Amino acid sequence: MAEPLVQIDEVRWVRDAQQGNVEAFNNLVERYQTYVFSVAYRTLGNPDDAADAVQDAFLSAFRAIGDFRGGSFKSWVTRIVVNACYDARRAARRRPATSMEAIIEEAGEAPWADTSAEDPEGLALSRAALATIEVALSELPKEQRLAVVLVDVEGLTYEEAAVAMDCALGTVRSRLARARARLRDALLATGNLS
Amino acid sequence: MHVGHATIEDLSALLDDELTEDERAEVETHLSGCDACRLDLEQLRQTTLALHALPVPRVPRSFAIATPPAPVTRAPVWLWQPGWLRACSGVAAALMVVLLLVDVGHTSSATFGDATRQAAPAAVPALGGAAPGSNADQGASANVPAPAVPRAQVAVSPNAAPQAPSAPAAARAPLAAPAPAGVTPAPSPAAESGSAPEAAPAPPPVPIAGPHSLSPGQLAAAGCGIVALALFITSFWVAARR
Repeated sequence: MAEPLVQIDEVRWVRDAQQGNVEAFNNLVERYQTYVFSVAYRTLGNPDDAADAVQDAFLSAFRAIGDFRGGSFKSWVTRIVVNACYDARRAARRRPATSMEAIIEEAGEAPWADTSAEDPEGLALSRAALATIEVALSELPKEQRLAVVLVDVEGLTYEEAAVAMDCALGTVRSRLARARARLRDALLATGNLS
Repeated sequence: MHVGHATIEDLSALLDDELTEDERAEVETHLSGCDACRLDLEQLRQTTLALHALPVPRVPRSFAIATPPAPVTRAPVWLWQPGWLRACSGVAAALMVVLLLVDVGHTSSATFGDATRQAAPAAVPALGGAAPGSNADQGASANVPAPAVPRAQVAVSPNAAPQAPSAPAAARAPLAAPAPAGVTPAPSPAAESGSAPEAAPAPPPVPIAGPHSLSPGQLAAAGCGIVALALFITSFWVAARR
């Protein structure tokens, strides 16, 4: 019963936000900001750029909420944050960036890692293995990275990912497969997978 | 990729249950007899599990949209247009001039009235045939010395001129007064002719205001002047901020 109630809340918040109710929209922000920030952070690899992109994305979403015609708000807002990340990436090309590898070497783990995150399911993955996959993830082509972030890290379905990435289901499937293969090779190369 | 084996895309889609029934049956048939593809599938599964296990980045701050502030009650924008401010400044300046002129007129009239009250007892007997009891004559007699007194004032008390903001204006205003009061033009020659010695003993008019005190009219004019100046300066300040 929890899922339908959540959806009812969301539908009401969306409807109220479309009437200009900022508080209703902020309920949606509260619900999705962790997810949206995670997508932005994994896409951009920089927490400051990610925070800026998320703020821009939510502002854009609020302005465009009147154009939302139902469906998955999560997919809709993901598409907006993905576009904000692409914009941020274009802007970041004009200035030197700190690579994910450098961040991990300096901090020992991904910055702001939530220590309450669940342990790897059924895996004895070391911190080194997680660091390896973080680095490999950051080195993927952006389309492949986005696919694997949305589906494997954030748990979106192929359909939701296709909406967020504005592409066909088959494209999601192929990008995801290639990304997984690369990540697997990275884990194998570092001895974290056998 | 393994030639003759299941593709990575098929294995990846199998993990997510995104194959059609036919595709799924075909891949599972192949996997049942292929150790290499089963290993690929297991490695891909472990990779996806590792991705699931990545730590969730902590949100650095709330991304809630700021609630628009309540509208602040401010003067309408048009009030802050430089043109409007300059127009107000001009009006205030004009008001200042008007107040000064009126004030001068009042000052002169008050001085004139004071002199009249003192000159009238002497002038009335000089009229001879005038009936002192009639109201018309009394009203007329109040206006009789009008042309004479300002001249006498100027002549008798030369230091009165600096007190007036504009000496010519002070002189003109009383001279204009006789027009409506001209019902009895006789006094004027009387005042200038033989009866002059009788009017002469009248004491010099007492100034209403001291040399350093301002009348209410002058104060109002000064206020208008300050407002005009302030509005004029503000108009340039507003224009410079744009």
